[in-house]
Amino acid sequence: MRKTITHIEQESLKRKHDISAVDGAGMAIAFFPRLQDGIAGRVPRGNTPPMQEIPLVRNRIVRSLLFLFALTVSDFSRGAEAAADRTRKVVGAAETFLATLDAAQRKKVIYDFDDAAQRIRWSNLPVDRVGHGGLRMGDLKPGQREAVMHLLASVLSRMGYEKVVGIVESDEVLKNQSRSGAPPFGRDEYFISFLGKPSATAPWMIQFGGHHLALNITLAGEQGVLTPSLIAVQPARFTLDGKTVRPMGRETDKALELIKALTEAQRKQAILGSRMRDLVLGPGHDGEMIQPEGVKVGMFDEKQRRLLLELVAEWSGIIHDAAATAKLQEIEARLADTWFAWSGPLEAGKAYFRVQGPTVIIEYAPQSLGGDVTMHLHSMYRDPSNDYGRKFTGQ
Amino acid sequence: MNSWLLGCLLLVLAAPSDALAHRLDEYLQATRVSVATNRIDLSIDLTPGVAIASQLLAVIDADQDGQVSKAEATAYAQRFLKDLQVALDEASLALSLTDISFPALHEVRGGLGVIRIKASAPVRSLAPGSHTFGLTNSHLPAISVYLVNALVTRDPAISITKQTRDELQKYYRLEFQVAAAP
Repeated sequence: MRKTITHIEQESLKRKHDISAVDGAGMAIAFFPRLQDGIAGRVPRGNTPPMQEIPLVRNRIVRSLLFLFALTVSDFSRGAEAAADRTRKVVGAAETFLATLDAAQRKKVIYDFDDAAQRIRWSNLPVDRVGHGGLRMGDLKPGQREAVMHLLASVLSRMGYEKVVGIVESDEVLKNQSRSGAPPFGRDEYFISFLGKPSATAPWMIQFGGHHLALNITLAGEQGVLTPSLIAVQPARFTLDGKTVRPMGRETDKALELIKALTEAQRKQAILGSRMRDLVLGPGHDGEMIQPEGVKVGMFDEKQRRLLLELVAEWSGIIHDAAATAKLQEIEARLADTWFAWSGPLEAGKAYFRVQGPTVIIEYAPQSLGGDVTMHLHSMYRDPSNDYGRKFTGQ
Repeated sequence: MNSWLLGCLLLVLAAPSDALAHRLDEYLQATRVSVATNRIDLSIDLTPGVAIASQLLAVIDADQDGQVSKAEATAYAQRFLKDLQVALDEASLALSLTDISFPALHEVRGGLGVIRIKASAPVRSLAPGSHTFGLTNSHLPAISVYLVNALVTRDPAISITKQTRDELQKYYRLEFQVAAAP
């Protein structure tokens, strides 16, 4: 079983060193246009490949953002960093961001750690319907926005950082497609907040989200917990600088690969006989645990287990590597009690699926809004045993 | 009910442009079932799409004052529950409304409001052995999308063995076992 984890780690490292092979990665992002000032053209050090050799990242802004990531997470070649080191880096990035704020902004961005209302104030909905707390990206100065991105780069893996930026960029595309005067979409409509003050030892939480995105990251000393988080995208496929970008492309394709890799008998068990048109455990359903269904992963052979873990890693691997590796090992240890269910055709992006085990629930639900279900994807990532890091925080 | 249903079916599908991000002409009805040895609890989330919300609100807001009062929300919840047929071991159960939460009207009109209904049916103490719970939802079938799931039971005497649904999830059957008392 350990071999499976190692394989995924190797694949992850391979992706980091060959991002042109990763669908949706390395997209041209104009998330923070000012970032290109003074950064573009520099070549990152360490083992990160020279970006001019990567076709998808020739764009100056892309180079800037990936360089920002490389600065924050300086050495990919050594594999997972010690969790404690990473927590210290995250705390440093958070304190750097806080130092850019005035007193009123600091008051607005930090909530008490036990603020139960703010903890659950997240949604997939457009921001004008939610009433997000914290600071709105569109209200921040360029340097402050840059500091937020440094913070995200420090707490997320490279894959996770790129996924998040891709989701935000897709919302910008949605805004530009809108015919109304002030659509509640786009890069400016994301919010950053903390519950508790950044600390290398005491529990605290980072929230970053808006339409189609809710990252709830609890940090408690060496522990890092990403659940519950909502990862969604619309449009799920768009073109930027002549390249096709699919922020949730890998999970879409990996799920199809997995269902096709099952035997006929396994697939029959996995496929539910009913249509699943939405998430069951989306926003507002904290603490609920539905009865698992589908096929038991305990029946899978080694290849099928590996495919399932690679699929799960698309969510568990959004957080930084040290936390992600520990989480994937935890999930792998309970694979015998994990279930995989599927509803819909055996086509990419057209079917609902769910992975459910004692320490993980992942739901992926294409949405019928707008016609093409493959263009509007919702997913939810939960840990029924440890949402909001309650194992470590008592919240 | 017929005129109400007809009103809901007269959908205005030309939704505002930003509606591409919201539920449109569907009425999502998501039900979660919780089974214990002495009661069945249902938790239902109702989300009308933006294209049907106004028609639905026009019916719920019986006095047409532009507000949904507690009494009007309760009346709608009662009407909804009448469209649910529930049975335990093939014997009909009577559901009682235990809670209704109605969102802000602008949320409903925007296709984003969730009407939350909780209902319960007390049952005689279940004997050890196999049991079935059935649910048929016939509320606005022409425009509705249904989800039904059992919650993992907190009652250690109960173990869920099977969930069966038709393709649209209008019909749902839950099979479970009750263990003998130690």
